[in-house]
Amino acid sequence: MSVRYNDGSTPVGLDVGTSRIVAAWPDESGYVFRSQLNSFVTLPGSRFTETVLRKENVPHTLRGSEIFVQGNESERFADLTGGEIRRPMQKGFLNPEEPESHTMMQGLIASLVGTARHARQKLFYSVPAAPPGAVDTLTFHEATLKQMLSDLGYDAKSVSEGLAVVYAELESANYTGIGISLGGGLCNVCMSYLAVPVISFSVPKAGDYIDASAATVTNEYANRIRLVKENEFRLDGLHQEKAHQVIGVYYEDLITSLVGTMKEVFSQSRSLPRLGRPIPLVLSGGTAMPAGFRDRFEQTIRGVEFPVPLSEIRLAENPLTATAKGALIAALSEM
Amino acid sequence: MPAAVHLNPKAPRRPLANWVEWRAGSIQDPVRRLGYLRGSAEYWSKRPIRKALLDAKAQRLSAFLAVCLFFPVPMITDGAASRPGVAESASIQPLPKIWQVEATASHELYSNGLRVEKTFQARPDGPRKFQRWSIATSEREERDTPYGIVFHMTESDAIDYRENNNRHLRRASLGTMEFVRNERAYHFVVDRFGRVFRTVPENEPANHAGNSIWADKTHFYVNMNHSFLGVSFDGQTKGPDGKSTATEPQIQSAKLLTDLLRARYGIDAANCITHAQVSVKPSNRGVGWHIDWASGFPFAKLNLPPNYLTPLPAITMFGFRFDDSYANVASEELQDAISAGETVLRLEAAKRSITPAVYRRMLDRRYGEVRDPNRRPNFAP
Repeated sequence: MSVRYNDGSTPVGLDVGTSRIVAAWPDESGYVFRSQLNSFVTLPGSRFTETVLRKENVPHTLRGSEIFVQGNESERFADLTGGEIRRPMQKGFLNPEEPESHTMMQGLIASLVGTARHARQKLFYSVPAAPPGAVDTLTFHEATLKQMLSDLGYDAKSVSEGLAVVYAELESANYTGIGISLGGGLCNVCMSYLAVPVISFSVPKAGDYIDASAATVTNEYANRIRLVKENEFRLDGLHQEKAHQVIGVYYEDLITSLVGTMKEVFSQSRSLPRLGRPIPLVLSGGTAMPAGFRDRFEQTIRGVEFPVPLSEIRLAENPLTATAKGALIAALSEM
Repeated sequence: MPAAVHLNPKAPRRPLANWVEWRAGSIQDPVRRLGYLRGSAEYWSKRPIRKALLDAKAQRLSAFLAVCLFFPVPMITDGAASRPGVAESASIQPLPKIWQVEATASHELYSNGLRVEKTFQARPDGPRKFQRWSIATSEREERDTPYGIVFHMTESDAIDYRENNNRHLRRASLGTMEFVRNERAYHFVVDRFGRVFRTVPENEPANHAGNSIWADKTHFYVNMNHSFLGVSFDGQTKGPDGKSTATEPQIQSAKLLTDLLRARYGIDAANCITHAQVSVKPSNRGVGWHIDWASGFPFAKLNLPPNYLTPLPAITMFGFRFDDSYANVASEELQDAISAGETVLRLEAAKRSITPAVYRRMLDRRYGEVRDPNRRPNFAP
């Protein structure tokens, strides 16, 4: 089927995550992705700095005496200046404690997807499932993102993060199975039956929880813990360094909480369709990437008599882009 | 449970879901398939039918459809459905490897214990050859191996299965075999004692299905004397006590025979169905012209999924109708499948923004195209 509109433009998939925003487009060989860290850092304003940033194509905003450096480069500048990066989102939603949240998100999204070529250009963006007691937050978050994307000219629609994982990975199972996106702020779980979300919920423990908890114990910056976690940490070996040991402890806690909540929700649900056969489960997101995570997760879920028979538990083909790809596939399906 | 868990009451339920899944399976492009599934979901979320499908168990079918047609009823997805779905194959055992142990002029013996008697086998009359249609491409294909099994009941006299009736039972069995051989009526007959008789060579057609329609995930089959093997139980679908007269030895032998045929020809378990599910009458576009095994077929004991739940392709693909006489003899599962078939037909009509009556006329024409060797019908969703 054609993946382009008459003017050559294409639908867009957008994963709006707490720690990363990933955009996806179709191309002749499959999909292309671009991502930015969903963070920013402030620098003292100067004409020289501003010129350098512009020359290097670093997303930034000049306001008064400050420069806001957004996206991937914010991490490097935070390291250089020895400060913590600031986050427009927190625990899956727009950060209510961050006064620049809205402006920074707008800038980041615009730098990734640009403006729409025409009013019918579809853009599907991911939203988390509501964690306990946060329904109103979800409504506000979803509406705010829709407004931002509509302002850029897109025909924007939301798709649940877990469902997007199913769309990206479970085509061979007719989009029936469980998708879990383990991001920075939340773990989003969605069970889909023939592409229809049957159960969706989120668990407010994810990568940021590990970073913050381990940072407190080790007296390190959370940002430094995150780098260790993403670049060196393994869940399938013995840990010599203290930081690794502490991260391992909080990973165990996260997996136990996630599996425990899943068991509780699925056991108590009266909406489960009778599937009759085991269904696949896919793990995605940066938090699922350390070596050994999948095995540890499988060991835990197989040990709790999970009420839904699972045929396989696997990592997404590319855990960092699965949600954006799923959102794009949803957009393509509406062409 | 967390307070904000989102439970969707709009998920499709079987047997409608079976149909949707089957239809989706014929769409190769994953994005188009997702579009189809999401479109279907959008439809059934607006037109709740779940409750109606559940109610069909308790109501007369005609009354149920009248309710369906005029009153949208709330859908319930409480997970309380008691019957397993068609695709529920958790209890289906993999087929064992079966080989021929012995072959004589009078019988064949197989490694699973099956003994096939050849004493009533008709003379060769020419090999089978038939066409089947690809749902995805509408192409016709010439084939010469069977793709399924249609189970029949001879509906002959039901003599009480007791020791002191041995003589009557044996005599009745012989009479049935002679009749079946002369008529070339089935490929196999399983008599009341569980003896398996091959009555028509397996590579030839038998006159067992007549006007009939079935479909699997990729192809559909019309007039299935050639394309499906006919296996008949000697007895009645509804004996004096209202239940089938099939004996345990018959069921055990039928299982061994089904295992052998499935293994030998690679037959999909979903293509093992009963005559009542496939039989049609073209002149009035009615399903259920023959009603043997309209209820009570022991699918589970034959290591088969509950295929009664499959919406009838005659309804969903060609718009055939049913009447109360058929609905009244159908099992609860088959009634549900008929209801689901009707619902699917309305769903497809709504997606095309036409009335069910107009859509049915389109399907009538499609049936005519299928029977015309020079036409090429289009089955793409």
